[in-house]
Amino acid sequence: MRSPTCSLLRLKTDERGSVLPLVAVIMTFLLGMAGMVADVGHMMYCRAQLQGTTDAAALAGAQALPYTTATTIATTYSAVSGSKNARSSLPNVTMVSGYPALKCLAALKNLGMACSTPSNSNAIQVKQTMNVPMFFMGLFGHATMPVSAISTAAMQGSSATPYNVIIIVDTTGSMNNNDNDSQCTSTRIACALSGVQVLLQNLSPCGSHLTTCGTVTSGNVSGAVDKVSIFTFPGVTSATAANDYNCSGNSPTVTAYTYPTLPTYQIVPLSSDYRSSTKATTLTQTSSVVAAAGGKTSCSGLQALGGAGTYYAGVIYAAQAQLVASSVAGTHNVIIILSDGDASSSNMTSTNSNGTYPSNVKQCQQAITAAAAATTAGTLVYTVAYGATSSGCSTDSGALTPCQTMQQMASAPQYFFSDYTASQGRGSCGSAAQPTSNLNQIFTQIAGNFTVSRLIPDNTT
Amino acid sequence: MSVNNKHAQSNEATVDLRSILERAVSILKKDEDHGNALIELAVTLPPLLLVATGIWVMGFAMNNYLILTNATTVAARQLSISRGQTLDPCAVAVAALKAAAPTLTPGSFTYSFTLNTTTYTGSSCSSGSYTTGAPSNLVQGQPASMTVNYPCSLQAYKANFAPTCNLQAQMTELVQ
Repeated sequence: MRSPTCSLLRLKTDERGSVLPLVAVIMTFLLGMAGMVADVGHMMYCRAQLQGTTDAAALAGAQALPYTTATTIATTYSAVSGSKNARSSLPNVTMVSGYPALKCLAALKNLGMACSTPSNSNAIQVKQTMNVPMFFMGLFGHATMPVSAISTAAMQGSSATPYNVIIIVDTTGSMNNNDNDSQCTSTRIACALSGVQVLLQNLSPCGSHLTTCGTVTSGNVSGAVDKVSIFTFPGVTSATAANDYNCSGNSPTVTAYTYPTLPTYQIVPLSSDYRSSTKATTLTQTSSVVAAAGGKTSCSGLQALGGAGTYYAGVIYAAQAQLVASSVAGTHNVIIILSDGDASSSNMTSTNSNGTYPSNVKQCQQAITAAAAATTAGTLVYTVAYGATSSGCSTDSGALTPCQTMQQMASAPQYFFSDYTASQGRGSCGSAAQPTSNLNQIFTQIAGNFTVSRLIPDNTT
Repeated sequence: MSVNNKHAQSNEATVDLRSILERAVSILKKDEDHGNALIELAVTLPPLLLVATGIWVMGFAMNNYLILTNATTVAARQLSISRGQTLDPCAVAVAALKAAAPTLTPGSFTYSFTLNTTTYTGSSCSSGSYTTGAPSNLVQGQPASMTVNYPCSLQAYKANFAPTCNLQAQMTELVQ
C-alpha cells in the first residue's frame, strides 16, 4: 500500500484524467446555459403572446366605447381562461385587478374624442399577468416566473370603416348672412361648405391599402368605403337641382315643402369619387359631390337661395329613405344636419294641424321625431348647430328652442356639435360633450368618428 | 540597460518555444502520459459540442417563434380592420404577416383563417363582392381568427434534427 503522501504527490504530477474535472465544470456551465436558453426563451415567447392578446383585448374593448360593455368585450378577447385568446401554450393568465380600466385621456379629448356618457371614457387599458412555468429554474425553487403585459387603445383614430353619409345643408336665406367670427370670415353657406370639404378630405373613398380607387362609374368606384351624398332644404325642382353643382351660373328653383309629392332634396346621390385614393390630399375636380361642396375651382357649389323657410322633417325622412334604399350589409348610415335649428316654415302645403308629419305646427318637434325614427332604424344622426339661437320655433308654442331642437335631433349627446360663436350675439348654444366651435374642427371630428380604435402609448394622459 | 533587457526577453522566448517542441516530440514518442489529455478531450468534446449546438439551434428556433408570434399579432390586427376595405382580407393579412417577418422564408408559411365561424385555408380568400364570401364574413363585432404554421427547422451540420417540428401562432381579434 502506497503512503498517502505518495498518492498526493502522484496526483500533482500525473496528468491523466485532468480534462474530466474541467469538462465537468464546462458541462455544468453549458447545461446551465441551455436551461437558461430554454427558460428565458419560453418566457419571452409567453411575453410576446401575452402582449399580443393584451393588444387584441384593448382594441376589441375600445371599439365599444363609450359604452361600459367595453370591459366585458376586452376580457372576452383576452387570454384569461375561457376567453377567445386563451390557449394551452399560455397558461395561468389573469387580468390584473382593476383592469380593463376605462380612461378619459386629455390628449385624446384634444383630438376630438369626447368622454361621453355612459362611461365617460375615450380609452381603455388592459393589463394581464401570467405565471410562466419554468423547466430549469424549477430546480432552484422558481417553478414559475411572473410576466405581465399592458396595452392602451383609443376609441378612434385607425382606418375607416364603411359608412354611407348624407350631409343635409341648410340653404335658407339666412345662410347668406356673414359669419364674422374669427374662424371663418365669409358667408355662412361658404363656411359650412368649407366644413363639408374638410369632411371629404378626411373620409376614405376606398380601401387605405390601394394606391388608386380606380375607375369611377356614375359617381362611385368599385370597393367604395365611405360614400357621401349632399341633401339640401328647402327642396328644389328636380330639373334644376343640377344647378347646385354644374357650375353653369344658373340657380335651382326653390319649391315649397310639398306632400305627398316631395320636392327634390337630394342634390348629389351617394358618391365615392371625391378623392382619387385614401392617400390623395386634393379633392377630385370632376366629382359632383366636390362641386356641390364648393371644392371645385371657380364654382361656388350649393346656393343659399331661401324663400321657403326651414322645415326639417321632410328632408330627414327623405334622407333616411335614401339610406335604407342604398343600404349594404356591414355599412353604417349617417345623417349630418347643419342648420340654425329654427324650423318654422310658412311654405307648407299641408294644413294638417295635429303636429305629426306632415303638419305646419310643432315643426321643431316633428324634426326631433323624424331624427329619432332614423336613430331607431340604426342611423347615426349628427347635428351641427350653426349659430342656433335660444328663441324661435314659433310653431311649437315655446316648447322648444332652436338650440334644443338641434341638441335633441342628435342620436346621442356626443353627436351634437355647435358653432355657437356664429350666432351674431343672439345667444349661446354650446355642446357639453363637444366643446369646439370651429366648423372645420367639427367636421374633422365627425370624420374621426368613422374610424376604428387604435393602440396608443400606455403612458398617454 | 534597455538593450540588455531586450536581449534577456528574446532569450526567454526561444527557451519556451524549444520546450514546447520537446514536449510535442515526447508525446509522439509515447514516453510520457501527457497525451491522455488529448484523448480525453476527444471523448468529451462531442457531448460539449452537442450541448453548445443545442443552445444555438434552440435559440434560433426560439427567435423564429418570437418573430412568428409577433407577426401573427400584426397580421390579425390588420385583418380586424379590413372590413369593407378589401375583397380579399386573407391576402391583406398575409401581406402584413410577411412584411412583419422579413427574416422568415415567405414560402414556408401555411395559413388558416376563421372569419365569423367560417374557415378559410391558404393565403387568399378572394370574393367578387363585399356581400359574399370572406369579405361578408368580416362582421363588425364578431371574431376573426388567424393561425399561421411555420417549420421550426432545427438544422445543424446540414442535418434537420426535427423535420416534423412545427411552430404555430394564433390570434383572435374582434372585427372593427
